[in-house]
Amino acid sequence: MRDRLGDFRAAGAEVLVIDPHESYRVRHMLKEAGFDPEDLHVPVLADPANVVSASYGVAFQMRIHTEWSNRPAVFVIDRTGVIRSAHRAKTFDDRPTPADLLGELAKLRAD
Amino acid sequence: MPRPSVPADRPDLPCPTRRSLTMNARSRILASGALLVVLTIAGPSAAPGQEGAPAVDAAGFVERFRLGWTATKEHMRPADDAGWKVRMETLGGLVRLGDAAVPTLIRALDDPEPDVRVLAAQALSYLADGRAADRLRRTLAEDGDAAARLYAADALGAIGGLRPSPLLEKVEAEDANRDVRAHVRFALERDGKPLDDEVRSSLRTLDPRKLDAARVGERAPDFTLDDALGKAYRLADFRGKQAVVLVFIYGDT
Repeated sequence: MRDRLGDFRAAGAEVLVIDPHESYRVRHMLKEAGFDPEDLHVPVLADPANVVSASYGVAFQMRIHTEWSNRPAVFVIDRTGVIRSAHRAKTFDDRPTPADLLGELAKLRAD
Repeated sequence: MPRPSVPADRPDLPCPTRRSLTMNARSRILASGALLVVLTIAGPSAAPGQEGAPAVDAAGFVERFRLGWTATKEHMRPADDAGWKVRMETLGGLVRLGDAAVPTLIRALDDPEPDVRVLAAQALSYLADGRAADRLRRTLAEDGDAAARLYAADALGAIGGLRPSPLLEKVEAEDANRDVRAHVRFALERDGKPLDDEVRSSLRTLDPRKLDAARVGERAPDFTLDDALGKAYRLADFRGKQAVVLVFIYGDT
């Protein structure tokens, strides 16, 4: 998905990633994954008390590495602020492909 | 996008044994007694601690959790599971009670039901009260449930002032669960810095009516969050300008 960020920008969309940890843990996670927190192409937002995850209905639904974390999920929100699609994972690696999401964004632009 | 690793089934992961199933049965029996009175007075969907709603004490929140959260050995809870809301409301309620909840939570670290001990340690990781430190060290050293040890490590870090010690070194080197070992490292990586009060405050002000409020075709719930470098992003700022793809990850570390 990272490789296709340009395509998301071209489709007029901002990608925001939400991680249910304190920001120091987010920085640690990014470094472990090989990213430089100072030079990210996508904002990775810290949701340390899971309150945003809870408002989107995905908090504390998956046990990953012993702790309770988010059910992975992707929401596409149009430019008027309305949710147009919601993908809530059935397994830890179940998520829409960048092509699926770009297709949805193209539909939004056509509407 | 960070690529998550496979959460392989590992023998060191806590799994619900016959013991916790027995505990759930016990919970149901208890529900028919005194606890039901507590729940009936407060109402299971009442907004705890809010104006007009009867007050629920810390023990009441712990019992609500015991009844509302079902143990599972699955990594993913079922799509229609409501237990996560109970967990969220319980944590919010305990954080709203603040200092008053701490003695009850310290006692709950001795609860026979592992899921209750895990919840108590997790709530203490938000409350970050130094009175719990001694008891949390014992949970970290001795609890049979890895998640209880993991949240005890988080809580000891959140209290602040945590420095390397023989106990922490031993757990970091020898705990059977690698995630517990990792969380001891995370706790030490705080360099003694306590949990930011903003985290508590976001739980304290959490409106239970705003749980699970995202629906296709409706306005997306607004939020403001900081990125890893402290820059604030507000969802509503994109309105009228750009579509947004919101990606919730579990944060693989």
